[in-house]
Amino acid sequence: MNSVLSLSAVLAGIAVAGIAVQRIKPEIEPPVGVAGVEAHETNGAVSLIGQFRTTVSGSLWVRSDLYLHNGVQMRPLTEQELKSNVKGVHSADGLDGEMHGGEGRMVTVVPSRDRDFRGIFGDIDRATSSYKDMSNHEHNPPKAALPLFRLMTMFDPNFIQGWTVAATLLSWEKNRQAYELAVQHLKNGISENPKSVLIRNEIAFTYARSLGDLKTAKNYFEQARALLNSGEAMNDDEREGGLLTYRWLYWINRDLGLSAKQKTLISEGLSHYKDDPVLLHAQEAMNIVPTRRG
Amino acid sequence: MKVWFALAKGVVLESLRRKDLWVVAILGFLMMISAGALGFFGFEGLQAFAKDLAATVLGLFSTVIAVITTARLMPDEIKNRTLYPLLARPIRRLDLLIGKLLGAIFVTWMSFLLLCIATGLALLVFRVQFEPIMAQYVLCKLLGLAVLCSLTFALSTIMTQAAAATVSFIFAFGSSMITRALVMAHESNPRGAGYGFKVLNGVLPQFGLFDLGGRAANMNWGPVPIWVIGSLFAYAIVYSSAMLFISWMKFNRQAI
Amino acid sequence: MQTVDLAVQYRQKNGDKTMAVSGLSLSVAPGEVVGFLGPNGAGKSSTIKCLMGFVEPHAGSASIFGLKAGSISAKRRVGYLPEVALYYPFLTPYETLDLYGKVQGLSGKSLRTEIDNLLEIVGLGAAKKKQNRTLSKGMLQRVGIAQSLLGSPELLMLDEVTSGLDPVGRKELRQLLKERQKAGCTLFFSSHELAEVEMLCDRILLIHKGKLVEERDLGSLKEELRKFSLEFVGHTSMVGLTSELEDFGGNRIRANFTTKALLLEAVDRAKTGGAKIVDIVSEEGSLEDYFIDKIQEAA
Repeated sequence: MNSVLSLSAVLAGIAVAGIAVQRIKPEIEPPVGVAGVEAHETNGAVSLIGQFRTTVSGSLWVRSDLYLHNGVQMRPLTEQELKSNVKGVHSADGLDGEMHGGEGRMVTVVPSRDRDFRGIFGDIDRATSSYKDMSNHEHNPPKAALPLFRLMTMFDPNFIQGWTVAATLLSWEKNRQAYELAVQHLKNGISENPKSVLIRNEIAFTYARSLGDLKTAKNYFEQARALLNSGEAMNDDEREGGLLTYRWLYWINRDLGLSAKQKTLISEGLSHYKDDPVLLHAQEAMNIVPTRRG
Repeated sequence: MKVWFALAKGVVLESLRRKDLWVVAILGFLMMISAGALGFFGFEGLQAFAKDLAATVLGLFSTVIAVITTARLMPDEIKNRTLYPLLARPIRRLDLLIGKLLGAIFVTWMSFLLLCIATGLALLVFRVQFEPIMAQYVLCKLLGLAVLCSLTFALSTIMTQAAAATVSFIFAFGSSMITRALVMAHESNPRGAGYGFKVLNGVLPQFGLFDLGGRAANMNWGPVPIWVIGSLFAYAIVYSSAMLFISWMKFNRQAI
Repeated sequence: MQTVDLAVQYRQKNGDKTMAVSGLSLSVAPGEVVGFLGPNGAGKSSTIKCLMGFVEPHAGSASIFGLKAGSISAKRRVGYLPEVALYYPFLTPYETLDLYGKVQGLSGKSLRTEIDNLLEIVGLGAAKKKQNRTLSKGMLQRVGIAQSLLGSPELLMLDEVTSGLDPVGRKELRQLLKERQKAGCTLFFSSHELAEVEMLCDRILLIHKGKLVEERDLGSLKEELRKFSLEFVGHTSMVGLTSELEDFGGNRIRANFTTKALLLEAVDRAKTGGAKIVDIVSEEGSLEDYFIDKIQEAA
């Protein structure tokens, strides 16, 4: 009897689900013609290729960090390691910060002998893997990684960090020729990513900090600012990059003695980034009455 | 000894005729040729990348061959009943296990060396120079693959073919990750179960130790000291023997 | 070859135990040809597997040439053909035999010659370089037969030997086995094919539900099963010879006898009594019926 009841219940359930699906189907799956199906398939293929390109460039990005450390695998220290003062390195030459978004002190993935319980297994591991203890922390010449970055942006031209970090590597020698090469590379990046705030910022930084050309720097920051105010959809990285656009524009205008412009920038910047301490501090310093923040 | 090699020869012949080995070799070669094309069309300075890719391809395909070849050996013998005429011969079950395992190891080694030749040729496009560490990489990889075959073989006698292959893949690809996790777990709890961690680490297969790919792919890493190679050799013998013993314990009592 | 109170037990996947053979005692003398018969699931293959050492006996013992069944020294003297075997699909018959020969401890030119001879004997000379996966079921059975003969074993243990063979193949196999027997080889084989058993065996062992239900010398059994009858017209008494009489009317009678001697005496009586002899029949009884009866009795 029970089994008959169970079977009836299951059948009733299937019937209800079937009716429900019939009702929902048109909502979730609008009728499409042949053209629609073709478009859908084309989009699918494009998206698959896009995913592949993103995956390749992403993995190259990871590998580039590894090659810079000559194969020594690194990881950020854990909270516990930080508390127990485990020895790590902190952006020895700025490159670790660049590659890891300033994640803080790094340590080798293969543990040093004093932190390894494995005995001889640990010794063999350190002898066979590309391991160097933190006192020997060093980098390969950063420019050696440039071909990899070229490969990254070739596979995925929209990989913004691929352009910006490559520019950092290009300007590593810190001379005019190197900076100009970096700027040229970034301009190529803009032609692939015409709506990128981050690449414009990077060009502007190079002009401002390295080439001492504040006017050209200001021009690129203004381009970035225009993009931020254009209402264009952009990802979080690009949007957060805009914070530096406003800060730098504020400083450049200060250096150029354009105080009225500074005030406008602070108000506008705070409308985008209401909690930014730098802009808030600037607002206080210039005695600007806070307006309603959006 | 003759019996072992006769059995091993049978396994090798079957694998060669099956052509799985060739498919893998062609795949590996194609992959390296495409990487080589990058070097040919002007991407200078990608030696480390090319060597790294080569080590990855070699590691990946040789692992797949080792596991797939080994995992099916004993289950197929039982399923196809090819075991009966063999065990009707004047041999011990241990001889059969040794012969079959040796066959799997030979097939894996052959395919790995074949892949090495293919990738070596592709690396020439990048003008990669030979370094002694590369020879050590190949030697240690051969030892590691033998351990992997033994593990898969033992697992295939105590679980289904698919389960044995899955578990082997997890250990083969996740070995380093498991070790790192153990080290970090031990750091978090050094007092609690220190001895337990050591036992666990000793029992788990240490495939990561046999991978010199990181050194071979990057620049200016000197050769590994001879005591390390000796230790790896000893480990491979001990671990493989232990796995063979487990297989024998299970198979010797098994009604077929 | 001998088993004493042999019991074989299997554990099923659900944990239950099944007794495949229980209390089985049998013996086969050197040079004998013994058929091991029984319906499906009777325990024939389990007994053979136990004798080959593939399965450990749950109780009792099994020995071959006085050696523990399944021991290396015992296996050295035995050739075995499994009930179903696929052989390595990507090897050729030659390579298959080469592998088994080397595992047997044979090598060199003598092995190569023996393989060539055996492949010719079983009719695979032309197919020796084809891969096993391309061979028919019958041809694979021939590969199996050839491998069982490798190393000239003293005892051939054949499980369902004629399986997959066509009539010509069966005839050739019978011939081959008879030659081996003449050379002093002991044959022990299981079969469903009673005709094969009749043509080959000296003795039969009938097994049912793991127990031996009949052990007979085939010659005497056949004699026992043979039916004799005399059909005559006239008035002749068969009292003391048989009571099995069929009256067809008009004094035409058929008398059935259990032995040839009784039949001959009846013929004498009929002649002396002036009866007209119409027919004398001597026909073989059905082994099949006999075995079915025996199995039904045992059940």
